[in-house]
Amino acid sequence: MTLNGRLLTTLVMLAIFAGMSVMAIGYPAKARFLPLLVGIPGTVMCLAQLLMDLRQTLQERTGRAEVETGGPADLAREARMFLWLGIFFVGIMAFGFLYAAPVVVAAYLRIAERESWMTSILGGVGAWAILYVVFMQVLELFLFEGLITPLVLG
Amino acid sequence: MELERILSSLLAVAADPYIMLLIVIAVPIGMFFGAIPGLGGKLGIVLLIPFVFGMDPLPGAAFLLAMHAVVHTGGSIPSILFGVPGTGPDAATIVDGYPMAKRGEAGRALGAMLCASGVGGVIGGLFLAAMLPVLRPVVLSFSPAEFFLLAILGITFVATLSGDSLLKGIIIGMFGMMLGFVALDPFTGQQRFTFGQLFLWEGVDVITAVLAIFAIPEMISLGVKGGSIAQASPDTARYNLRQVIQGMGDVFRHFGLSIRTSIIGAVIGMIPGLGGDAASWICYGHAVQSSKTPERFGKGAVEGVIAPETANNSKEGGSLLPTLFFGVPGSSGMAIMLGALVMLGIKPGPMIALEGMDLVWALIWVLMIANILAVFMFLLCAPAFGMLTYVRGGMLIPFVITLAFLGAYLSAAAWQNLVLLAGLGVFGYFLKKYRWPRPPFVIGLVLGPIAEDSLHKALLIWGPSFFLRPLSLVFIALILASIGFYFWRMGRQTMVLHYDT
Repeated sequence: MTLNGRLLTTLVMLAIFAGMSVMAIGYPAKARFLPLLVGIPGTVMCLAQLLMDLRQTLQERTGRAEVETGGPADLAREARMFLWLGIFFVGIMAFGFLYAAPVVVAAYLRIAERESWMTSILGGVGAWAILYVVFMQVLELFLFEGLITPLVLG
Repeated sequence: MELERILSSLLAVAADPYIMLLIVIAVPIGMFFGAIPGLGGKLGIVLLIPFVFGMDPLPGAAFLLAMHAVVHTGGSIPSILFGVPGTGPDAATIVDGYPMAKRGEAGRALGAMLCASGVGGVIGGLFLAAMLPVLRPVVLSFSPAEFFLLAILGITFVATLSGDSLLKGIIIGMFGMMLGFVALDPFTGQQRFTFGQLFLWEGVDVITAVLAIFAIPEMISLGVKGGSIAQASPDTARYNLRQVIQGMGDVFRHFGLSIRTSIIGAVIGMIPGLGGDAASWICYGHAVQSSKTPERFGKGAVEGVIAPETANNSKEGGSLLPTLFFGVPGSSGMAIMLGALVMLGIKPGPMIALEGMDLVWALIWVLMIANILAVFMFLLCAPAFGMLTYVRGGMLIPFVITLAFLGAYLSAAAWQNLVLLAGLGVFGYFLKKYRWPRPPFVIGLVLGPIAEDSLHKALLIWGPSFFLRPLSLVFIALILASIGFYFWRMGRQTMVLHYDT
């Protein structure tokens, strides 16, 4: 049986509960009390959920239950969205909000949404204006400059 | 003394041009978030949070609350015009609102919705005000034992009403609690689950976690679905102002129903976790039961619009009660609001009954003013709100993601929060995809540390026998009753409440 997304989600949840419970064992009594009180039943419940998911997956395979998850087209669109999220993340982490966000916003509108060049550029400029005018000038907030920008600009 | 406080709070809001300007800005934003299916009030709060950084507590709280208070007013517009609910609780409005629109009475339905929302919001505020003298001694009499059990009750309530799996709801609530334990242990100073990271010493940032679990999954999901949010025929969206005024008159023709459902909504809102869907559907049911001609319902009865709408807006007043006085959010939206209030320097909890009553009164006035303003703003720009439903969702995605990253960074001025946001956001998407209810996560995250602190204090004072205190037994009975109610509901399957998944 191949591992599907539903099972994987429950497995991740199970791993989180089990891992945190194991870590909590090493803490002093007061510090571990509630984490264990929540973590151990949480682990047991995740196991129960895993069994239910396995049963549902088996029923879907044998045609006794309707398949809930999307097809390959959905997976491709998901992968595309994760890629864009990654681009936003890496861009902002590397170059900060003021430089990366307008570029990535414009790129998203142009490439992912197939908007016109004009709309995409206006979107990017709008994002920059909100960040610079509203947040930096009006609200006087310090925006993250990125990990690379300060090295480049000095 | 109290009258003086009430009036000075009103002056603090209404006579302050800055706060009034913020409310005037917040109301259309709230209606915008409500009117676009898939966005909603929770996302509205999380996206506005970056804008309130650096504000004083009252203006910041007024801005967020005014926005949140009118989300359902906006959310009912696509429900009536296109049969597409803007937010979950607006679904009840479709049952009669959409048939009215289809037979050419869209304006009347919108007018009834608008006036009912306004009346509900004002009565919700008045209900909150009326409850204060009763609630204050109750809050102050609560001990750590009651606070611990109240936290557990809040999580249980939300878990039982979230989606269709109690097990998943409870697991997610516990997952939130576990993340709430990430920090330096307040009793021993032991680092818990911090992996040596300094930014985790004060705990997982609530704003970042909420943005990750709500905003990022919604945007990924919107990107996966593609296209415009509403794909409905515009034929039903034609109406004129005369119809709108006629609908507003309907609320006063059924004023008894409006008052009753407003009060029911406010009471339901007061119960932690019961929230929006329950309020609107229960009030819709009341309207059907109390009508002399119940056969008209479902075919375009105006009372079927009035009842859920009054409840939707009045519940916000009710849900502020546990949020402000117990630190236990009345709904998932209020859980996010709770995090925002803490960020603004407001400390919800029993001490607010002693030290923060001016603020509480000011927020009550904000709630009422926002609801009244929403009526006038809708009348001013009625045609534009119908068009909002056609806003292409895809175009919002990059802006929302940018604001989510910005909010996560600004909430603690730590770039590490961006890593947390991205990682938790991807996990949040799979939770959404595989129908793990997310509201219990927020409640668990907020209440986890409160529960732990209260439990340790209760054990220190009474030992394990604190469970046998009379009020503790009442709370234990309520927890068991909420679980029992869940199984009863699953067995009957007559009333489907999808709180939020």
